[in-house]
Amino acid sequence: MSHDQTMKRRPQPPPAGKSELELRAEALEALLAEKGLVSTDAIDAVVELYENDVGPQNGARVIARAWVDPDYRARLLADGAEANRRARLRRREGDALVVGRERAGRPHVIVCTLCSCYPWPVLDCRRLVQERALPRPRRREPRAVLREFGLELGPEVEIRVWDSTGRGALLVMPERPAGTDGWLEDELAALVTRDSMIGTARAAEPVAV
Amino acid sequence: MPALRRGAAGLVERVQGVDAFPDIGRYQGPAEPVYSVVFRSEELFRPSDDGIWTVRLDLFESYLEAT
Repeated sequence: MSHDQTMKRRPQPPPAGKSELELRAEALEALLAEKGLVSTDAIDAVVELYENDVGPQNGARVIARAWVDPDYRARLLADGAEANRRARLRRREGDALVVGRERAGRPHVIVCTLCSCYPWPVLDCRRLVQERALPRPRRREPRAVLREFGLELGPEVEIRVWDSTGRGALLVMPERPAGTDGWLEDELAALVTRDSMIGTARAAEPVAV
Repeated sequence: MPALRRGAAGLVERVQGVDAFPDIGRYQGPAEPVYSVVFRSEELFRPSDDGIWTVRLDLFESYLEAT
């Protein structure tokens, strides 16, 4: 958004179809720019970062690397901040990232109790806005919550719930799907979904071609 | 720290590093170890028929009492 657009929009009536939140953000931006407190270029840079550079594609690359490189996997499990270093997204949420590795019969699930604890550099942040409108996760019944995500786990499976905090964010390393021997890192990354990195789904199965 | 954890018995599973204890003031507290503590679900919630599950919480040393 250019400076000129910001200035022109202010006197106009609010366009239909915009949410209250969008309107409030725009009004705030226009006011801050008018007072010279922020430049619209700086805001554009942040929006660009969130829209293009931050998201589950970063986490997927980290997981795919860990699947093909045992040394990297060991480093990542010992120090989850390695994930952010690989994604070149240092000094943001996720510096104290902990990575839990899935093994057969022992899934990990991340419970987000606060918004800022979500490791958005390697996952995503846009969904946070939507999720704030939903009720708090029902921590007392993890199996029922997972069922709503379409993941059915038998009573013999131990569920480990990790309560993430502002200090330590969490990332799940899903199991590498069978039938992917010899796959390249980029091909594997395409199988790693956001949901598989928070534990509400398995990594996608390879599709026969 | 959520009140539901007070008095619950858990097991220290790993040391998560050292950080400024936050309860005194933001970034003002002394450096203190943070532990990942594992609790069985019955320790925190009423017994349920939801099978076996455990919860891991990161807690500052001051929150813990050795037993």
